[in-house]
Amino acid sequence: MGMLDWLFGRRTDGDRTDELLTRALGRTVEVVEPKLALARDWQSRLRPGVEAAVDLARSTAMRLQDFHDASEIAWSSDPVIRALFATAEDLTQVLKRSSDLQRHFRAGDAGDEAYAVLGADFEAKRVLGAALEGDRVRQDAAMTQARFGGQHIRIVAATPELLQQATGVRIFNQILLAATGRLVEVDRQREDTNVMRALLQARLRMLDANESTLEPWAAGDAEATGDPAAERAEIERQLAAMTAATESLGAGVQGIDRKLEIVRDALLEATQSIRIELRGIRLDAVNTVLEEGAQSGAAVEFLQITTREFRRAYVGIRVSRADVPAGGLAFADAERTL
Amino acid sequence: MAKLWIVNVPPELDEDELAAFLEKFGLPRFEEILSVPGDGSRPAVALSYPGLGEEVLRRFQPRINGVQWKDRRLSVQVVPPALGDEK
Repeated sequence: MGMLDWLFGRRTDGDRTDELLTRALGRTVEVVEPKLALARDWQSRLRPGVEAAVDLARSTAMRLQDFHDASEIAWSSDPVIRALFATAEDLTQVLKRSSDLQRHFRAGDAGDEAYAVLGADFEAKRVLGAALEGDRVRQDAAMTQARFGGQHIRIVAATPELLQQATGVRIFNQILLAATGRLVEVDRQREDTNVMRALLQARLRMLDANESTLEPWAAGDAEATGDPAAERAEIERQLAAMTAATESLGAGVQGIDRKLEIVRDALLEATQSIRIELRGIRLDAVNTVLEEGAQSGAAVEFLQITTREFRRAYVGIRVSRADVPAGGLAFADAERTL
Repeated sequence: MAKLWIVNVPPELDEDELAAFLEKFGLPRFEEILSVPGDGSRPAVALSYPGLGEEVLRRFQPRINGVQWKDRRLSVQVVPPALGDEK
């Protein structure tokens, strides 16, 4: 995927952009639904969604400019690393657990340094705590506490530029998978609607065969009147609604065209539902959020990504081979536990 | 969490090669891999994708099932999540 990698790295605007976007479009149908390439003008129709996805992935990746040393020594001096990890040992454990990092350093051509994206769940919670007011300690002072958890290293590369490319590709693929998930959901809805349609058609056939004495399907079916003509009209109305619903969900001769629109809309929706911002807060040694301009504490900056499912903080880190403990089974820990 | 179960992989399997092969079909990199060598005639692997639901994995399964890779015909199935297991 070399060309696609390049799409998410540094480039001069307008330089081979069309060719690269064509690659991104090709990758989109490859991942989401290869049959979409059979639709007429599929590239121009899918383009708005793919462009939005590429722009989001690219702009997010390009925000990874600052890299923090991830080491026990840096933990004591770097406020960002100290805010993310309660102890230097926690940092070491995350480095040890990262299979991506272990794999990177195991590769024969890996250097002694790697760049990676460190992510952590983030929440800022209002709590009551102790605060010094004048000469007195107040035990119920309202304050905001920043909490980080679930630290994980996911993307690893040899240089900052390669990391930006890998991050862009990863975000782009995640957006494509979100669109695939939407298509799966629509397919399931269409299958359900088809079952309902088949039931309605069967009921209509029964009415045709003068089986008007048929009991209502379910107790509490308010539509069933006992009058065959009224019942027939009601079933035909429901059938027409179901047919319209299945067509809107990508069935029939226009199926591929409709699916193309669903995927385009899903890509646009996915890009709009993700909020990415550079967050800067001032924290003291125990992660209490301080007011802007406070003399104490230290400024901590990270990339905050908010979706419907999660809110996470991301920072770029630089890792030395010497700081990564060997992975595998921790026999000493197991022995201690036993 | 649903898993992708791939049977008849090469005995000396390179994880990166497998990830690159699956990426061609649109799958992201797996989070975990469990090797099941068996008697050695048809080694298998179970791949975990925490971010993907069972239905999404089922969409990829027919694309890879039956594909010839490294002189071996792969057999691919989706293993549903265990009861009570979160998606």
